[in-house]
Amino acid sequence: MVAGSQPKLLDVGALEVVYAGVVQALRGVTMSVGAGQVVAVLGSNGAGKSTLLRAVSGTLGMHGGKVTAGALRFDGAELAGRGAADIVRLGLVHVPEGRRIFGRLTVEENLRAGGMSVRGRAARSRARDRVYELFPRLAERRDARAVLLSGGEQQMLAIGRGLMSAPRMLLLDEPSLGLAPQVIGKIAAAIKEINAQGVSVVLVEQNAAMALAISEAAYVLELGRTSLSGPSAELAASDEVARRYLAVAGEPAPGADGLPADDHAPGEPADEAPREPASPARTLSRWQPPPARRGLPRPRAGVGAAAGSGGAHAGEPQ
Amino acid sequence: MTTFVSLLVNGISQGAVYALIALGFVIIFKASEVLNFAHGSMLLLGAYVIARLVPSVGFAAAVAIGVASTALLAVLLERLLFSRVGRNKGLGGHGQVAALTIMTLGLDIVIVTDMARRIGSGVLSLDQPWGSGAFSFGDVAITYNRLIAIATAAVLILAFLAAFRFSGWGVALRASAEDAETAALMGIRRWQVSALAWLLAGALAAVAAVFLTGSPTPGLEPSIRTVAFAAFPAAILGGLDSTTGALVGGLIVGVVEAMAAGYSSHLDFLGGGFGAAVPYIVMLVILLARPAGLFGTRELARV
Repeated sequence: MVAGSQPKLLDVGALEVVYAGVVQALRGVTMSVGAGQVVAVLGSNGAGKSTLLRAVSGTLGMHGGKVTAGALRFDGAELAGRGAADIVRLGLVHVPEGRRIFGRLTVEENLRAGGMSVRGRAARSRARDRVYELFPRLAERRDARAVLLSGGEQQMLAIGRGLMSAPRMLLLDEPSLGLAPQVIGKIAAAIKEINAQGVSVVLVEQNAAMALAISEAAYVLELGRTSLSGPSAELAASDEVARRYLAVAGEPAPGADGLPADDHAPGEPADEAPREPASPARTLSRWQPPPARRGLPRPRAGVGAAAGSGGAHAGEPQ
Repeated sequence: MTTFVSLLVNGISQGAVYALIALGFVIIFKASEVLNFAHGSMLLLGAYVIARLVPSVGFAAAVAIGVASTALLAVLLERLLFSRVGRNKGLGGHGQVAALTIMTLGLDIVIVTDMARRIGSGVLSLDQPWGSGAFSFGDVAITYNRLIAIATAAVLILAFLAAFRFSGWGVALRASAEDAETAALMGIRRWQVSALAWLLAGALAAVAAVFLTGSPTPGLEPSIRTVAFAAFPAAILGGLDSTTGALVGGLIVGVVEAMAAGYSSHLDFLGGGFGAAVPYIVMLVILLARPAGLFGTRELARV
């Protein structure tokens, strides 16, 4: 449970990042993720969450950013100076915010694109079968153009595409963004299932309730710094996190059991979590409509089902 | 009617060759966001290599070497010039595309000038083994060169479209054309995708050169590059980011051009040599109606 007790897979030390030579986005972020862990990274808009992931996955340069100080290691290998496509080959895959599926490609072609770094036809089709098993809905829609999928399906596709190279670690940037609560539950279940199959996960979220419920440890970023860190259950129970990131009185605080969307029973407090009311304006759990990108259809509640047929009985993280 | 059919068949043949060139232009644009106006001079260079080698190594070997060296030249240009400028983020999107495009224009002038000097005022022959004979079907005549051009272009274009649709390279190319950053996050190495695109485009241009310099054209002259230029309006009217568009655009330009030349006596009031302007007029009209071209999905404003 304690972050320090497992062999470290990803190590981020005192990382500093500057955009366009002048804007300092990270001012010293330290984080480590052990093999097999799910680690949440929380924080408000502009706290540096996405920047952290970009630095790890080697895409900072495409946004005019640069690592100016600090250490970045994955399984002992130095990440600084490696291109994004090379980092994928180390077994570290970043699923970017906003899904970013290839809309003009079919579902199957999106998955092929995800497996482009894998050598061997057999390995690729194994990976694809695994993704279809995890998200049976994608198998049903394999020949559809990805732009026609619902928001939830697109998120499944984005995650499934990331899994195609059989990574050891998955970086997920706001997978709940713009999805209905029910669909978020499916995604959360899928993340647990993926983790149960041995993939470490770094989960960046504004939806703190979901993130804390399925992670073992969490880091809170504020203005480019790690302001809080610790086991997720402790953070979820702490006054400060509850007040600032979980908010909403009357909502059951996420405990070790149950996903927020599964037994969503407002007015039925589940445990002794502090229940200070907070103004909705400060709530970080955004449940907003999907971003209007390229005229994507809005996610229909109920589609994108089936994500968690396997995930439902996935073991809880220890 | 006979004239019409004859013009149609010849137009389709010329259009098929344009389609070969336009396809290369389109995949280069998709793979590296460069409008390669040096494409015509690459073609000229391919033709020159073939013409010089034919006497010593024979036609087949000369074509193989010409195609290979044009393909290689294209990759070298991409690696040594365009990808370096492309990596320079200082310019930003539009400025960068503009800079790269102007670079190709400059390069085109350099290569063409050198080729004109080498070729001189004469006409070099590529010595196509099918000669200058013609096939007659009733009153409709078409040279063997143009018949073979149709067949070869059809095979190459089909193979190419199949690769684009089904091969790993095709998927990688389409993915990075749509979202380069995410493609990189999926482990797609854009420089490899792009290098292969330039390689194929160069090879297609050299193949086109073989037919552009064949009968009824007397042989290789520097002006061949001007003829090849008609492939640009073909690519643009078809939709700059669409391979289907390149094919259809090539055929449209070829047929319209042949018609305008064939019926030029009826168009005398427009002055002689009007046929050469026709592809561009067709392009203008089509772009007015469909700014992204017939099959294009991206707004041309981005260019």
